[in-house]
Amino acid sequence: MQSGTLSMTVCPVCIQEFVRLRGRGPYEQPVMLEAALLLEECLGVVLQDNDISVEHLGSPEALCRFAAAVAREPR
Amino acid sequence: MCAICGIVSFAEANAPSLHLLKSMLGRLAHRGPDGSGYYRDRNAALGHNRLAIVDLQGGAQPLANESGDLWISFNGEIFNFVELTEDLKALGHRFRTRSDTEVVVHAFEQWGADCFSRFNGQWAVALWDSRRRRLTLCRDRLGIRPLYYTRDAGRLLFASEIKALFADRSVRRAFDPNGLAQLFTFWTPVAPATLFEGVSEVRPGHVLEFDVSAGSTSERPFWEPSFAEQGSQMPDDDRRNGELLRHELARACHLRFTRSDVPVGAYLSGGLDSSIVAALVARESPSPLETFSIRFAQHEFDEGKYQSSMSERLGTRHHEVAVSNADIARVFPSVVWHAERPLLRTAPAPLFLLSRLARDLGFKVVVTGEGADELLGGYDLYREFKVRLFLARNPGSTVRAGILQQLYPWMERRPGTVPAFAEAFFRRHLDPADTGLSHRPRWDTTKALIALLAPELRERVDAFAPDQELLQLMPQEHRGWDPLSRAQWLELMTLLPGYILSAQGDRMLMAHSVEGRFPFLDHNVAEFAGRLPARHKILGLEEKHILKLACGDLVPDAILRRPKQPYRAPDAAGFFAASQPEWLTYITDSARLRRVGLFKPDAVQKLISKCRAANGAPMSNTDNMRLVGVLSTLLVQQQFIDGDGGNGAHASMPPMTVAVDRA
Repeated sequence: MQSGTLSMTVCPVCIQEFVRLRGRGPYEQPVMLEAALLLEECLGVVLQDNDISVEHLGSPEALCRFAAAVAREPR
Repeated sequence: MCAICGIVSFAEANAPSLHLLKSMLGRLAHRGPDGSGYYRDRNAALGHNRLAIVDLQGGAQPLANESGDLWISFNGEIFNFVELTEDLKALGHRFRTRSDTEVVVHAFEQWGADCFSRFNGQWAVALWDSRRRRLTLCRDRLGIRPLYYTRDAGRLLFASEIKALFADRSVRRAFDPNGLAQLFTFWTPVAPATLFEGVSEVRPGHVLEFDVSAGSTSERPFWEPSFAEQGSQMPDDDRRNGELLRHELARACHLRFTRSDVPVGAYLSGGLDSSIVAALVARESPSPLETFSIRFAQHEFDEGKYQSSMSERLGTRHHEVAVSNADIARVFPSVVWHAERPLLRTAPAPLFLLSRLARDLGFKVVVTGEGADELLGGYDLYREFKVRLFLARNPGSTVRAGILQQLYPWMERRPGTVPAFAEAFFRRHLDPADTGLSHRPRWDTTKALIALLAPELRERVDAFAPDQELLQLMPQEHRGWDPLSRAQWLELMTLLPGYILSAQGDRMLMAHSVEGRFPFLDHNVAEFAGRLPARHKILGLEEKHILKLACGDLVPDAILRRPKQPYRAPDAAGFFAASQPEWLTYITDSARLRRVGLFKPDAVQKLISKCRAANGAPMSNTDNMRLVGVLSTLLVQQQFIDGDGGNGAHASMPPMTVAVDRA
């Protein structure tokens, strides 16, 4: 998935901007934590420690998939 | 920009003293070297020192209305005076000058105190209605221009700076423990409190009226910082909001650059905000813009390469002042005399030298980037707050503290280098219901100074709880604001007016008769920023996101992408790297410390020994702050309590251009 064509239903602008600012990764831990902070603010959720992983937040694509999943099933 | 002062006598039998008024003006000569004037009747005297910027020939003050019963002494600028003049002429008012000051007089006649909400500008003003015997004092919305007053049973004295009030020997000169408690928490007293007992500051955005006939006083706000309720903010379209922000900012720059009859220069710090302002005003300038910057020998503080790149991009005529440790140490007593308060950083000192450079090169007016950080989310403190909220949302997390590595990247001892300490420090006071959560680390760090106070004074200072008192002032609507807005409100109430715009702003500029103009503090820009979604200000941890979107094309990529670096100057090193200045030896003498009774002498000596042993090497922020705070407090004590406030460097008295005596 390209950063300019994210098919997010929740707050696509913020994630697009995040990817524009932080690049396409792969993201290291501090950037993944920043992404987690952004998702929590946008979606009004609290992530668990096991959410903060490369699988969920380590790349723009992972971030988009994870954000969409969280939006569908708020935790 | 000018100085104003005055005396109101509550009894006609005691007409205000002209001698005292002139003494007050003498202490404010640095603010207005182009002319001096006074008006006096049996109840009131108004004084004015002028820095002539608009209507150089016709704007002498004090100035009256057509009938001569309403008099004004005005410090500042009304940038929309051209438009207001047309409005007032259409309503039948006749003008004798082209000055913005006369606009204030007619606007006050027309709309009373409601006129202030029509002004786009920066001002401190006194209006004396001799017929109704009523004095009106007012300051601009965000506290750009200063105004103080003191009163007793028989008189009211007011002035642009406190030192002018102390020209009256009967005015008591003593530290106010509440003001000290505030300063050693927020970095500044919060208006109406000041550092001195019995001296008050007119609050930003407020009107004060003293009715001599009725013996009454009233105060009311005409503007207060406001933020949109969550859910009713501007649409979540950052590109569109960026366009609107740029429009407002360009308009603010236009007004501040073109409404002047003298040349306007620009400060360039090397950061984003001043670069954007310089770029926008350069478009208005028919000739190359003149820009001014501070350089430091120490790489840690110097931003020369960014300043040069911006200057080259705009093709400005660029001027620099190189500031050394010895320079800071040398001018520090003068800096404190102008600031009239303890300082917790030496950062105002280079700005004192920069305004001197601008003035020496013939500039009376500069535009700067102040206000962007407060209004658009530029401060590290805001990022720190978001990180702390992130920690607070899941206190049991074992991974979240890793985000602390993102904070304060410019600091030698940044959190990422001391992770265990940083985590313990930033996890303190993590109560999400605490409306002061954003500022607790700063306030706690600053309060370290209180531990140095002598026991008797500390007991008096400890009787106050400035943080609790401030938080109680937060408007009820704050419950609907996002957390960032609450943090911004705290900045707008404390550091912006009391430190950034005053100790580091107005006072350092006016020390050399230079007026600062601040496009980001145009109230239209401020109100627009208050309606933005928080995510547009700080996206994740990206500060001033919308400003970068809106104006990124105006600055080189290197400036756009550089991590935020606050303006700083060498602190303790400035006093100890070279030979110790004489003033420092004098004010820290053990016998003197005991006599003065402000601080614990042993604690001060220990702190000084520690700084001296460092021999100019970097020290902790807390030690730097404590040292600068102690030394500047001792200087304030020497200059304004032991001394009478008049022992600084005096400018020569400007020529008298208005003299009206009806007493």
